Amino acid sequence: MATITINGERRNWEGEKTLRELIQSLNLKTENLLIEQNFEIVPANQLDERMARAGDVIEIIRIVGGG
Amino acid sequence: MKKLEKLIIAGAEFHSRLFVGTGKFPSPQVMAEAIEASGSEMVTVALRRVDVNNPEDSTLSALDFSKYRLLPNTSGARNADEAVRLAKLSRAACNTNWIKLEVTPDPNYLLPDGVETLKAAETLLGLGFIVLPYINADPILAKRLEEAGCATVMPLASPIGSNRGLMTRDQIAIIIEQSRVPVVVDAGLGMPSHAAEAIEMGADAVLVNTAIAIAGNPVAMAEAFKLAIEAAEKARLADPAGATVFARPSSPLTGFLR
Repeated sequence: MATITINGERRNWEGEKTLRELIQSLNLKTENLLIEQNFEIVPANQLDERMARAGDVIEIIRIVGGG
Repeated sequence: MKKLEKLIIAGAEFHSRLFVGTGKFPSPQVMAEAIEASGSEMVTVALRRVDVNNPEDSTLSALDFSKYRLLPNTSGARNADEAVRLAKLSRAACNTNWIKLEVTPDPNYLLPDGVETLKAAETLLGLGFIVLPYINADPILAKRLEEAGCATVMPLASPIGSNRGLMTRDQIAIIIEQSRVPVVVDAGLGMPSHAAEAIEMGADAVLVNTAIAIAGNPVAMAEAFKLAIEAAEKARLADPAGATVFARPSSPLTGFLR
């Protein structure tokens, strides 16, 4: 079974999705999020072009309160 | 006492010497009100993974980002590589090249790793970042970071969130004496008097989070810090008289009744 790692959690992965579709499939809005794919920052305007693939390491990050 | 000069960091002028962290507030509204009451012009933020199973997070929703300069931190980084990675993510997420560099491998005291901090600072400066490093109160390290090109040094008063005040006072005094970049006392300032003491000593600014955020009334505490810092600034401008070993009579010593 192919897997993809999202925020450190491995998930089963089939088929092809763009990064935006992947984020939406997690019930997340893409606003105010930053996506890193295989340790590379994905510019917001490329979420519709970049494909999520089996074996990818995806980080979905946001700004939070901190000191 | 060091003359009070305008606070300019990497070309940006600040009128308030209080920077505020945005962590641990009881609600987004209280945070926004407290930061407003603090008079601060720069707030720190952090980056974290979204909890995919529980994605709601409105921590910063009430904050008007147009009113404050954002200073993202690299909290959570345990070494230079992680800090550089976090800094790059922060730059993309916050649209700023300013970064509060913190590398804290020790989970109990959250003390910063000076070796990794210097290493990360050199890399980040090479990448065009404005680097504000969080450090232990080590005058030699502060000098090394200044020479590397950091915009400030940010020595700790006591461990993050401990509210213990200026435990590193004597070391910070040396940093203030030697530094040619602004000295921002960061971490451990638990009461307004601690912040005032830092400014009176000659620090250029202070950064406070926990003491404000977890106070019973964060808005009132934010204002208290603001007032204390203003009082300390005023004292510095008033040319303090200085301390002596022996008494100096306040009343005339002539014309007694006998």
